[in-house]
Amino acid sequence: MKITPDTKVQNAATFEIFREDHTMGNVIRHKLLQEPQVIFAGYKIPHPLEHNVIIRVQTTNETKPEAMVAKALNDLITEVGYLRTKFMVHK
Amino acid sequence: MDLFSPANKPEIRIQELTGERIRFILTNTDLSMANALRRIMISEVATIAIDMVQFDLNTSVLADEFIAHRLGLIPLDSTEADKIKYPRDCNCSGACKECSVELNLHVKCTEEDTTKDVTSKDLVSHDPRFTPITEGPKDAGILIAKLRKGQEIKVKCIAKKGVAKEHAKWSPCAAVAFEYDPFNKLRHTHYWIEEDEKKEWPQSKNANDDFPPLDDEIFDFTAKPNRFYFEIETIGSMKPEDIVMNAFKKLLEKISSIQMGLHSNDVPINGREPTRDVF
Ligand SMILES: [Zn+2]
Repeated sequence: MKITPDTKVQNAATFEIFREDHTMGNVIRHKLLQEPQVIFAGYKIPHPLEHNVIIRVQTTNETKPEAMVAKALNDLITEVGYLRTKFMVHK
Repeated sequence: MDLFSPANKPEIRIQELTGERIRFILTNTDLSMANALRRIMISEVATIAIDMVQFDLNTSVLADEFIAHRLGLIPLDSTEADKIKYPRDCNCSGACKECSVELNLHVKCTEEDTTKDVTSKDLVSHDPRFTPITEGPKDAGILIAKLRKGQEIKVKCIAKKGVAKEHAKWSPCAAVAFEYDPFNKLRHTHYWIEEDEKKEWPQSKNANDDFPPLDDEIFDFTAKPNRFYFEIETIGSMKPEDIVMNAFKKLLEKISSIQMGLHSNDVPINGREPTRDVF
């Protein structure tokens, strides 16, 4: 992953994730947007032949984009882990 | 945001489970999660499929590459696909027992007045865990080619582990049906009609498990989808419940690897302080 802080906007950064696509891009963006400290979250796949996804995040002054992405990923692990155990019990 | 309050926990309810299909409802989660699960089941659950074919003899009417393509599409039992390595993760130079399975096919037609069918049943696997699938002894197998008298096919196939992102032959799913909001209460779609929407657009079977709108219900533009209907049909290489389980596992792996990528980035960027302290 490559993190590039925005040179003009405070508390903003882009996260380039290699070898990922809409699956992870959309799911991370969605989780970020549920946080009140996140002002902006969006993702794009700049070119169909390059297998990277870029996520842009801007947060309030209370926190940092890196921290919010880390939280989003943590929450995702909890949610997927929870669903997985639910499915295991039910089948 | 609170991760999930007790009343709002994500839930999975299985409605139907047979040898080749599963129907379930995923609730209290968001569209992106449901869609990630769908996408992973289609294209990122690993299976085994024939990937290389060496032709020793082919006197049939079909071209080598034509037969090779057909062999690639034959479903191989992939229940134990996790026991085998991806070729790229293996130390060997070409193909070894840890990252591949050899299957042989040798058929010659000696009959006088009839053609001989070459089917998936003629494939002989070197590893009993990875064989072409069959539906019991009555199953005739999958037809690969027909031979007339004197024609012969002799090939060596190398099957490898892969994902459908690379080639659709590795997909464990024949179809993944995915639906939410069968009554279109969220107005995410617009029905084209002649005269009457109710007459011209029959209800989906998932409507029986959803909540019909009240006659005087006002449109809630803040509502978000939170009930997702899945139906997965396999191609026979893997049990439907295993596809779902492997999809969850894969999704967890993907998130973890991004997490690792994020943490290994905890170095000052452009002279800025590391962000390690904030979480
Ligand atoms: Zn190997």
